[in-house]
Order: sequence, then structure tokens, then C-alpha cells
Amino acid sequence: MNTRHFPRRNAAAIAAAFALLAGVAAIEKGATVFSKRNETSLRAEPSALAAAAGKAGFAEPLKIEEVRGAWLRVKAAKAKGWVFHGNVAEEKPTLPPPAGLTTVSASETDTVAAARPLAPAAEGFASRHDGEKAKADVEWLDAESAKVKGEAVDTWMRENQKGEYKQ
Amino acid sequence: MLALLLLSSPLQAAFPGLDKITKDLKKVEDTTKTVGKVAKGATGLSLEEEIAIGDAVSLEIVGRFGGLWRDEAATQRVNLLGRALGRYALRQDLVWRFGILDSDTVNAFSAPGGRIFITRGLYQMAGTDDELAGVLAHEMIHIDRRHALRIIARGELLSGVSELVADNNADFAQYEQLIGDLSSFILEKGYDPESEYEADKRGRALAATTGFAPGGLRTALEALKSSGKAKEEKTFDTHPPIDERLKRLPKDAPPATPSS
Repeated sequence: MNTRHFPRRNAAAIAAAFALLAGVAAIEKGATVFSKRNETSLRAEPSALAAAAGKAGFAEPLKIEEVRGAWLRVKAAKAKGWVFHGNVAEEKPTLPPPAGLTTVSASETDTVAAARPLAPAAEGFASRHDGEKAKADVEWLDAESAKVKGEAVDTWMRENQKGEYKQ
Repeated sequence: MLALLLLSSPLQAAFPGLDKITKDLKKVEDTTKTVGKVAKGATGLSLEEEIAIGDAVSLEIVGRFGGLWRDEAATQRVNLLGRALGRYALRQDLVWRFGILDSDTVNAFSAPGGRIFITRGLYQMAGTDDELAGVLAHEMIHIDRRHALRIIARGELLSGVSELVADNNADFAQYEQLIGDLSSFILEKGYDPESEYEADKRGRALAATTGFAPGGLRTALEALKSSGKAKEEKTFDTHPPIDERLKRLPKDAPPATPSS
């Protein structure tokens, strides 16, 4: 996929990224954060490639026991382990993700994205306002977006050490 | 610009599509009940209600800008970057989608429900992944923090939107008015400055969490400022002054990769 440029990894940028966390999120030892996915994997080590140590459900509170860079060692209701800070929220999420979406498999969203047409009310809105061209454009956008599969996003992130794959 | 239709009962006979529209609205309600997603978000709107609003606002945005730039490679690129950002957004209930408006102007917009639009002019100006990610993350935060929905919930545009979308007895003219007003707000007036600064701050954090250079948005804004386009009409005119945004953003180093 054409992304033209990949940023170089440098220590200053990584340190800056972690430092700014403190200004936005209350992510520190003793604080409570919440799982954002239906099933968030907890890892045995602070690495996306480490063995699974357990799972946390949607909006489950996670007590932070240790912070190591971008990774948090947390205690869930039935498990303990490491989770990438991007996979938790400082505030409790209100609406659950599509059924089946987990930190392990993002492909479920592809099904949801491909299956959902414009809302019926919006379809009617388009027909009442000579919006057929706009409707065709939005449907084209949705189709193009659906071509970018969750697995391709995951592969790109791994290859470019993005998010939890950053080493 | 859409004309706002004000329908009344005598017009129903002259407007044969009304029955269909009422049925459409009923479908929203039925879908909501059927799939059991009646949980309300922080604004009191269900996801289905948000999507019913966001889809129509998306049509408005695309219509007013004369359509999308149907460049497959560019569209897939913004979707790849945006979907990576979406992995770490607060809201995981949304399917994020990204499109490029066929316009030379420099601007970006977000519609409730998860669609983000940037203009071709902005896409071409923000050359690197880091800059694009910074711009996309800013717009995603508007949806993540429900800035548009909070305006509705506060009653600044129209009260009782829930009933409009979900109630099969609703007068769809109110839905029309809501979409027209909300689109005008997003496309012409823009969010209040505090929402914009929050989007800058949280967007920067989202980009950094995803692994993009935190200075991407700053670099894009600086490029816009130095290009001279910032003073042109309709250039980011729905956002606060660039100097003020730059002043509030941390002075991050530019991304390591050069702009193309």
C-alpha cells in the first residue's frame, strides 16, 4: 500500500510520545482504567507479541499496578497482565464495539463496515434533495474504506512498528 | 445549500414520498430494537440515531463540495492511516471511514457516526503520513468526544432529536431541519474554540499513541501558514486562527521524514 514515507524511530520522539500521555490521561500506578474492546488481551510481558495471560471484557475496570513505558501491568476481575495503554481508556466507554471485536482480531469490523448501507432515513434524505450523486460518492467511499481490511491495517502496523508493535 | 422542507399535513397528499420516509424512520426504530443496541451514549443518543444523522450530514458535506476525489490510492492511504488511528480511539463502537473532497480549498470535516473528510487541497499539502495522521486525528477527536452530538444534546440546534429519528410518528421535516442546521454548523460556523483546542490536544496524543510523530499536526499547520494559503478565503475558516492553535500546541520537533 502506498504510504510513501515511514517515520524513523528515534528515542526522542518515543520519549515525547510517552511524556505527553501524562498531560492527557491519568495513567499512573494505582489509577483505574477501562477496557475499550469486547475482549482485551492481557499479555505475560509488555509486548504485543508476548503470550496471552488473560482477558478483560468491555468497560471492565483495570487497576494499574505498574507503568513501563507505553505498557501497563493491570489487574482485571479474573486476570492479571500487561496491556498497551492505547487499548484502555481513562473514562468508562458507554457504547460497546461491534460484537466480536477484540484486540486480537480486528477483522470483525470489516464485516460490519461492508454490511451497513446508508441509514434508511439518510437514503430518503438523498432522494428528496437530488442527492443521488452525493449518495453514490458516499457509497463509493464506504466501499473503498471496506477494502482496507483490519488484517491489512494490523500487518502495516506490525511492519512499521506502530502502536503496540513499537519496540 | 439545502432548502429546508417544512411539511404539513396538506402537503402529504402532494408529496407521495412521505409514506416511504415515515417507513424509513420506522426502520431506524425497528433496527434499533431488533439488534438491541438501544444503549445510549454520553449525549443520550443511540448509535443508530447518531448514524442516521451522520449519514445525512455526510451527504450534505459531499454535496456541498461537489463530490469526492475518486482517487483509489489516495483514499485507501487515508483509510489505512485513519484506521490505524482508530485502533486507539476512545470509541470502538464506530466504523471509521475517510474520504477526500474534490476541492482545492484546505479544510477538513467530521460527520457523526465515523466519517472524516479532508479536501484534496489539504491532502496534497500534508505530504507525510505524520502530517496526515495529525490532521485526521484532530477530526476523529471531534467524533470521539461527540462534539457535534453535544451541540444537539444541549439543544443549540434542535431539541428532542432522539424522538425525531426513532419515533415513527416523527415529523421528518424536523429531521431535515436538524441535518441542514448541523451541516451548516459544521461547514460554515465550526466548533467553538475550546472544542477545537481539545481536538488539537487529544488528536496529538492519539497520533503519538498510534506511533506517528506528535508534531505532525503542527508541521501541517506551519506548512499551511508559510504557504500563504492560510489567508485565503475558506482555508480552515471553520477552525480557530492558525497562530493561536500553534501557540497552544507543544513545540514538537517536525517529523523526521521530509514532506514530499
